[in-house]
Amino acid sequence: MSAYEMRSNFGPLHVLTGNQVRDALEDVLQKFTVVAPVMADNKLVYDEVNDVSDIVLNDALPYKSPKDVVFPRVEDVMRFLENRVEEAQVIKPVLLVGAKPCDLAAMKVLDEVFTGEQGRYKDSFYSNRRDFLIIVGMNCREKKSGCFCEERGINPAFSQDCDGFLTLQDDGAVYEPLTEKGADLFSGATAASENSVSPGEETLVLNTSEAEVFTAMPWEKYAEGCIGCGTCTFICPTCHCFNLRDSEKKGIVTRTRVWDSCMYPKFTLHAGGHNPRTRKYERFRQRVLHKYLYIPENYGCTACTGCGRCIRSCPGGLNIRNTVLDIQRRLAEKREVHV
Amino acid sequence: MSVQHQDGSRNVQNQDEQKHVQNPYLPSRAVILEVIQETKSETQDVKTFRLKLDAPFDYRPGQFVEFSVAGIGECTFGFASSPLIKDYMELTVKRTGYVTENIHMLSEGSTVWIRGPFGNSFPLEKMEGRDLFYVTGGLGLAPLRPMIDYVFDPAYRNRYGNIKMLMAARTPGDFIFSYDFEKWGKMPDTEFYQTIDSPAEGWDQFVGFPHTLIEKIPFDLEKTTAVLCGPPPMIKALSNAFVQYGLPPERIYTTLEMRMTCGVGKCGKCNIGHRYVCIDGPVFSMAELGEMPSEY
Repeated sequence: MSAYEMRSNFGPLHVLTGNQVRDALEDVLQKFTVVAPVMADNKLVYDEVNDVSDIVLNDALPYKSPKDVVFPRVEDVMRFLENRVEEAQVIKPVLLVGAKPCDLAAMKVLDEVFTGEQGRYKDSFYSNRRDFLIIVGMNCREKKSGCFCEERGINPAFSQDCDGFLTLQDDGAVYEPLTEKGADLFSGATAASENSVSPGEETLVLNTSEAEVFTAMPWEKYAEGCIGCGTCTFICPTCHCFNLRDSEKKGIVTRTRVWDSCMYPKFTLHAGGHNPRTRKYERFRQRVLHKYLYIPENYGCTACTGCGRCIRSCPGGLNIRNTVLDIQRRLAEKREVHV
Repeated sequence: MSVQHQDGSRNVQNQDEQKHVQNPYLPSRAVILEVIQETKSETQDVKTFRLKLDAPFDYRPGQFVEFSVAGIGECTFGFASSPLIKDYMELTVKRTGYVTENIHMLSEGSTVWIRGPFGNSFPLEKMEGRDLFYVTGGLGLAPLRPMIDYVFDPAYRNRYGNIKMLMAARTPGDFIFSYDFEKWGKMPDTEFYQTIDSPAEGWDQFVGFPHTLIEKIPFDLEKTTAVLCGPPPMIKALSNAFVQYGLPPERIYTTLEMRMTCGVGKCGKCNIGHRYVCIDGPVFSMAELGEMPSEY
C-alpha cells in the first residue's frame, strides 16, 4: 500500500485550534489510559496522564523513549500456584499521544523482534500490549544536540507508523487519521490531505559483514570512555534485552520480566565461570553491531533511530553515530585501496 | 525445530482464551522421581535429576529446556537422557551458582517447572551411514547422551558406522554417567576411551587434554563425523586439532553453552553475531561457527 492510498482511507485532515486540541485530549482522557509527554523530576518523559494540563505537547524529544508502554521496565509474567502456573500480565488499552517519528520507527523495530515472522517465536506479552495500543504521532521541529534521525531515513515532520499523526503548528495543530483506530480521535475543521512528505534516505547504515568489522575496527578506541553504567541501553528506544526474576510476597511466587543490559559484564557470564565478553569494548561492539548489523541481517531493519538519547546521556562520551561514521569511512578507504 | 511443535505439546493452564499468541514463558509442572549423585570427587558437584512431567513432550537429541524452581529462578539445561525413553527425562546439573545450589537441595517428590523443548538438534539423519567420533569434557557429556543412547538403540544402531568415544574429566571421580561406561564399551563396533587431566593412582587410561589425544585414536578421516562438547576452551582446541588432522569443519559438530534467559530468541543473552544460540543452535558445525565471531 503506498503512502498516498493509506493516507486517503481514513478521512480528511482535521485543522484544530489550540483549544480544540485541549478539548480533544480531555475527551480521550475520559475513554482511555493516556500516555503522553509530561514533566517528571525536571525531565520530559512519556508517562501516564491524569490531568490534561500536565500534557506537554511541544517540540522537545522526551528524555526517555515510550518503549515501556509495550515493554515495561518491570512486568509480571506469571505466578506459581500449587500445581499450576497462572499468567499474570495485566493489560489495559492505552492511547499514546505525542510519540515522535524516531520513537515510532523504534516501535517498528520492537514489533519485528517480538512479533515478526522472522523472529520465529512471538512474545505474547509484547503482542498483547501492542494489540491494545493506539498511537498518535507528533512532529518534531527542533533538532537536539546528538539527534541524527534524518541520517537514519526518518522524517522528523511526519511518520506513518502510527494510528494518527498530529502536526503541531504555531497556532493549533493538524490531525491526520492513518488507521481505523485513529479515525475519530481529534476533530476540527476538515481539509484535504497534502501528501507532500516522504521519508528520507538512510545514509547511516553498515553494508558489510561481521568478518569485515569485528576485529578490523578500533573498538577499544570507540569504547574508551565507557564506564559500564548501561544507561545507553535503558534509554534506547530499541534495546530489548531482559531477564526473568522470581520474588515471593505473602507466600506467592511471582516471576517478573525486567530490563537487562548487554553493557554489563555478567550479562554473558556462564555458570561455569567462562565469559565470552569480559571487556568493555567487546560489549560496546556488541551493542553497535547488534543494532547496525545483526538486527538488519535478521529482521531487515536497522535498530537505531538516530534519537541521540544514548549520545546525550552517556557519561563517558561514547557516540554511536561517530562510531558508525568512522567504520563507514574506514570501509570506504579499504575498498578504494582494493580497487 | 518449529514453534508449532513446541507450543502444541505444552500443557498451559489457565490460558486466556482471548489471546491469540501462545505465551512462551509459561512452564509446565514436573516431579522429581530420583536424584542420582554423579561425581565421586570431593566436591560431589554434579547430580542428575530424573523427572516425570505432567505433560510429557517429544524432543530431539541436542535440544534443551528451561528448568525452574519456583521462587529461586530458571536455568538452561540440555536434555541428558534418550528421547526414546517415554517414562521420564533426565537433566544433569552442576552446582555452580544460586539456582543450581538450590536445585541440588531438592529430593524425590519435589515439584519443579519445565518449559521447552527449545533449539535445534544434532543432524541425525544427515549423519546416517557415517562413523561417529564423540569427544566430551566433564559435564559436556550430558547434552551428548541423548544422541549416544539414540544411536546405540537397536532400532537405529545399523544406520551408523563405527563409533569412537573419548570422554574426558578432571579426575577419575569427576566422570558423569560412569555407570553407563561398561555398557557403552561393550557395544558392537565401538571403542571407548577415557582421559583425565593429570596422572592419578590406579589410572590406566589416557592422561591429558582430549585435543592432544585424537591422533592416538585412529579413525577414518573420510567416513567420520566428530561430535564434541565441553567447556568452550576445550571445544576451540579440539576442533582446531581435528581440522589440522584433516577433518573438514563441516563434519565437526558441537553444542554451545551460553547464558540464556528466554530460550526463544528475544532476551539477547546468547547472541553471537547475528545468530542466537537458543533458536539457531545450540548445535552448530564448526563451519557455521567459523563464520560467526568467536564470542562463545
